[in-house]
Amino acid sequence: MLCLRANSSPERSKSSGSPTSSWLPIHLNCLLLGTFVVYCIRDLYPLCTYQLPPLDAPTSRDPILVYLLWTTISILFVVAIVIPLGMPRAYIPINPDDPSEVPAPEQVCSIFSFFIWSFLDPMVFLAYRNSHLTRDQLPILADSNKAVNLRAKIFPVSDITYLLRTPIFMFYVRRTAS
Amino acid sequence: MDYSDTLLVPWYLAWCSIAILILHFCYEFIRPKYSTTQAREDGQNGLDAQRSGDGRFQNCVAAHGGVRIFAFKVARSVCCTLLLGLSVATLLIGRSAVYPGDRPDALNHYREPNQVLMNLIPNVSRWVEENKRDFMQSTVCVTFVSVVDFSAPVIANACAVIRELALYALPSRQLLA
Repeated sequence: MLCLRANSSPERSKSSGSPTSSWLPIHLNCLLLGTFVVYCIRDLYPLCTYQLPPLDAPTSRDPILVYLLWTTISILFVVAIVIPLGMPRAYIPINPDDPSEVPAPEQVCSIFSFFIWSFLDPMVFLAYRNSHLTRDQLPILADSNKAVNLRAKIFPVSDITYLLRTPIFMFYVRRTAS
Repeated sequence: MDYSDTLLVPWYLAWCSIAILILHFCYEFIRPKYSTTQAREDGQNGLDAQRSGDGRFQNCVAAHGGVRIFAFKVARSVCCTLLLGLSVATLLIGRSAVYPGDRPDALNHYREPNQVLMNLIPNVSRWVEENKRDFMQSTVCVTFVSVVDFSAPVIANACAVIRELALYALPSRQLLA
């Protein structure tokens, strides 16, 4: 059942909630990361010490089991660290009625690239090779930073009637009045 | 049997994950049906995904967000399947191996079984007491089974893509022959 539901399109808008299928990769990554951390604690950390042996490597020095262990840990490293950090993200438009024709690199780059801002490398190298960059050569604005979408997101919150309806504000008014 | 062994942590994580997913699925099932606007958005997205490609190959890839994302997902699914195979192989080959974590009297450990568990499920708990290492390794296998199950849609789509490519390649081969 979960497999069938996971076939749905990832281009679902953020406003439509979070279906079960969008949770599956999160569960998968958490499960794999947890398993990798467990193997790190059991088998990689002891290698940093003088007296502790890896708990899953047999004392009989069985070569096949040792190979299996380190192959498992290597694949776990790839599947739990490299792939989640290096996989590009699917473009999810902020406003489904007005999606960008070309998604901004900031929105579709991998998480690792987003951390180190390497998605701007092509523009940096372009600027290094040319004396001047035209407006067309600059990266396009992400639709999460467009004024229209920011206004639609912020205005309801900044509205005074919204603040009056919040339970925290009413709680503060009651405490102050009493 | 020490149920606080760190090798059991992935097993516990898998059960927590399955429980959360079942709760989430139940919540989706019982919550009110979504609005017409949202249905229109979903339908539009589905149409976009269908229009983005000519054949089923493009549809499969477009539904996952593009060629690069699909390639990463296929690689992850293959790695998950490999992990399952490696854990099963470790379970089968390593049955007679002695590990550093095993106590010297590990083979005689079944003489002090947990009576509460023994009364509840005698056969299973006796096997667990006698084969502590096998049990823990089998929990790792079960964890990877759930991991492979999570990535099964990608494997199914990859198989569909391979089938489509084979169907594309087959007529040309016949023409060449």
